[in-house]
Amino acid sequence: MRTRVFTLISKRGYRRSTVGPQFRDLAEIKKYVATPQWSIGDFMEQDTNVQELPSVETVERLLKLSGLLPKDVESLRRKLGHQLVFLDKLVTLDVNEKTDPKNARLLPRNPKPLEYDDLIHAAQNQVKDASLGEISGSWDSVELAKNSKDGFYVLRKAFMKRK
Amino acid sequence: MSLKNAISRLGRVPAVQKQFNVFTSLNHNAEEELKKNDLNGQEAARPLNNLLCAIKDNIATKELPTTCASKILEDYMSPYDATLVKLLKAAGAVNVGKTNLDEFGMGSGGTKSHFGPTKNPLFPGKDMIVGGSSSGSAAAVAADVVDFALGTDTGGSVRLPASYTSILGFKPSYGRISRHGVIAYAQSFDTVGIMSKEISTIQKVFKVLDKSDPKDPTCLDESSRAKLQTILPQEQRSKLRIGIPREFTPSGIPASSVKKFLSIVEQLAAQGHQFFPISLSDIKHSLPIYYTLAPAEAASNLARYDGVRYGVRDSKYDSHNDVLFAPTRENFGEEVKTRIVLGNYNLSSEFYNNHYIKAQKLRVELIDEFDSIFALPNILTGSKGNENGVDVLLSLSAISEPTSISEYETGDSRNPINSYVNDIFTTPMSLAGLPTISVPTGHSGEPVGVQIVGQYGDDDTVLNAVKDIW
Repeated sequence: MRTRVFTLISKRGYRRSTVGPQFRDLAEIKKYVATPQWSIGDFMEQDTNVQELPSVETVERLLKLSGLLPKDVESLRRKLGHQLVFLDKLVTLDVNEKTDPKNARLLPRNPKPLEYDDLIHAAQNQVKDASLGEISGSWDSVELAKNSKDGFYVLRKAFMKRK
Repeated sequence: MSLKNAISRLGRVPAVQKQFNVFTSLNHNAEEELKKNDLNGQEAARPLNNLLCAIKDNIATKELPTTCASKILEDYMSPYDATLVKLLKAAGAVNVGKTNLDEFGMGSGGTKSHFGPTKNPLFPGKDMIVGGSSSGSAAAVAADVVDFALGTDTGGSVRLPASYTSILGFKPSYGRISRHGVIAYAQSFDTVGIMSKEISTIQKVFKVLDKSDPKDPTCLDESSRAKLQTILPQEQRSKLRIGIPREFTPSGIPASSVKKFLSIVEQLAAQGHQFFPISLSDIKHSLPIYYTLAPAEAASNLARYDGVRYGVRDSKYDSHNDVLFAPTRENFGEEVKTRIVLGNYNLSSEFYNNHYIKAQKLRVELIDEFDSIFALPNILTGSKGNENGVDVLLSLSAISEPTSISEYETGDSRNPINSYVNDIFTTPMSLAGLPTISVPTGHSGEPVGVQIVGQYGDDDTVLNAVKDIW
């Protein structure tokens, strides 16, 4: 288990945002600004707090998943260790279990449901868009490939062994 | 802007490039295009005629390479122009060149580019960071070789370099400008932004680019835009209710920055604007939420770079030790590789619920918190608005002034969190997709900016408020 820092930022409850009464004058604003609730330094002083790094096996597996060579593993362990201490803050936070994570998308939350007739209408009214390259007979799939043969992509000596 | 003035600016580009490493490629036909536009006699009809612009090199252009400042795309020529590039051309703007950036937009210093770091024109000869990731775009504006530049802002990549170069950097509401042709880093955050020294130029450019686009499903469609018009104030508000978030005044901020922030507050108060204390408790958790979600999206988006269909490909091998495409993907820079690995960690089955899904839920709650303090409704969430809420928020844009490139790199190599912290004041607005602009705190080249933030869709109030400061 990695050590978790951020003792400064206590557990939260949700919906704690507030708008306070109007500031009376500049002096009151200055006093407000001069009374900090937390410190930037708390984010930046974690160098000594990473007591347990992710395992070599974990890092090698992640590198493979990422399509990257298994090199500089020790350096990556250290970087990932710092990052994970930082991100593990999330584990300590309360969250309303009813919150729908789909609403994290910045799109209308309650769009009009798509119906069968909408799909049929969209299919029947499709038009070619030349600006998207939708021109009959124009598509050359290997046009930008460095290596191709007879209209096919070429993959060199890359037979994967399923383990 | 006159044709003569524009041509004179073009003449300064080579020297600026040599000194500050602003561009990744240059449009050698720019002068010809300016003259051609002039001969067409369409000046009156075209809102951006004779204006020079620069375009961040993660935005697709047919006539210049689109590299994302990465070796993996160093020779890539897009077969099409991004929607916004077409809109700018049609409006008469002439592109001077593609601008340097942190590779794929991943960085806050402007130092992580395959083409080398961009240097800050405010400090000639001193090798200071510009801020990133839209480093070249900010430097092009700061060095006065363009009228405006386009950047992209995922977690602060327009606002931070704007603050460090003492220019205006506007991140509109998510979805107002099409992302078709903008190479994705983290698609639920990526927003095209506009940088300039003139607010009137930003407003003109935004008017040109603020259009729906069926090619981008995340771009606000016509019905949402119509709905927005029904809730927005019909007239510009002369007296704003301005909130100062308590969580945006932590200790550790240089006293000189706090002093400049307070001078802006004083300036606005003298004009009759009202100030209110705001508490948004989730704001301080924004960084870990952001750095959980953005690398996860990046890991997915950057999986496409295998060299088989386009881009750089390893000259000999397509696999190494049964890892397909690893020899080609070795061409990513170190920061990009680190973020891909972190993203895949967050998405892997053991950590998915505790990290990724939890971060998504916290993002929703942050959006709802913002909704609860703004007076204006939010057309995306259905929030009705708080009748006692505020019109805009005000905070500093950055926790500090720019440092030297070597100091930045040393801190970053010791612990990546040291550079992530630079985004602490900018990521909350990115998580909620809010319109935000960084405004310099003075006209003498101070690299300290304040941020004005509005409710989702209320971009015009944010832009109009700048006139009371700048």
